[in-house]
Amino acid sequence: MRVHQYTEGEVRSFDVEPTERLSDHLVFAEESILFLVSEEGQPVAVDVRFEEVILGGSGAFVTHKHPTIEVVVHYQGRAVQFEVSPGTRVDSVRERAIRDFSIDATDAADIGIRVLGATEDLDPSLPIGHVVHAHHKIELELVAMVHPQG
Amino acid sequence: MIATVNPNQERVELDLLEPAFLDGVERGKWRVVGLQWPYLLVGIAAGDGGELGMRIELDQFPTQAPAGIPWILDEDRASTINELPTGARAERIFRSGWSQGHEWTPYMASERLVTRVNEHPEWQQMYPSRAWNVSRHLSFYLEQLHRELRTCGIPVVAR
Repeated sequence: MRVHQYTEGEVRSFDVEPTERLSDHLVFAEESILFLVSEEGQPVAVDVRFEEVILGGSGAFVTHKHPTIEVVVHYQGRAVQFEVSPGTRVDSVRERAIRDFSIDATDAADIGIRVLGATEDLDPSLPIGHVVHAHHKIELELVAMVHPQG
Repeated sequence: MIATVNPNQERVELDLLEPAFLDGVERGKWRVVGLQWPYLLVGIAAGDGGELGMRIELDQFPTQAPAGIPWILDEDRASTINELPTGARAERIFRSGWSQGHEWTPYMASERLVTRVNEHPEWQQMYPSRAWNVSRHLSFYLEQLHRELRTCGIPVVAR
């Protein structure tokens, strides 16, 4: 199976046997915590086998120094704040913010998420712990997608 | 005889293994049906649970953006008007004017034919979050299309 490991600022990709243990391949910095990249981003033990945590043909992990990330999301002059795991995908953060702002499904389909003040939307597959690097807090904004005309 | 490696195909094959692409596969956003160079056949999930087939030409990838047209995967042919996505926002990317004249090419800033035919080099500056550039991966194009299909349905056509 194909495995990706996000650290603070880089990503490594490699193939593993399902029966191998995480500790056989994943690299850890001192005092870092290992998380599965998913909707919840739950922490995982390093001595389990890949097949115990990856259900499909590929999976991703992120290591981070903090157990939670404080997220502030801005939208149309308002802000919501919540905590997520560093392993939580950007897409899940977006969905949580859309719920908190009570944005209806039709409008939500046209909304992306980016770092506050940035010009590009974030890759929805990234773990939020990879986006914040070594920090434990990040400010994001929901932005309506533009549709080029002409 | 020395085997030659097509650098564009090599890059595509690498992109099929990059994290965002595989994440999309695992989460059911899209699936690969086959790579018949220079075409990639994929299915992309729509909002109603249906799937839009696409044939994506990648001969100049990533220097040039992907060039996709809707495709009936099990019959290996281009989609007709009755087989296109439906819904209030479908017309936004499958335009009865422009797209119809270009095999129903989706009207997106990440689509090769749109930028080439309409000559919109300024879109890279005007729409940096949506336009194609050489640093993009294949998953970017698929994500853009998947986003557009979130509120669309795929008609069930008797054949």
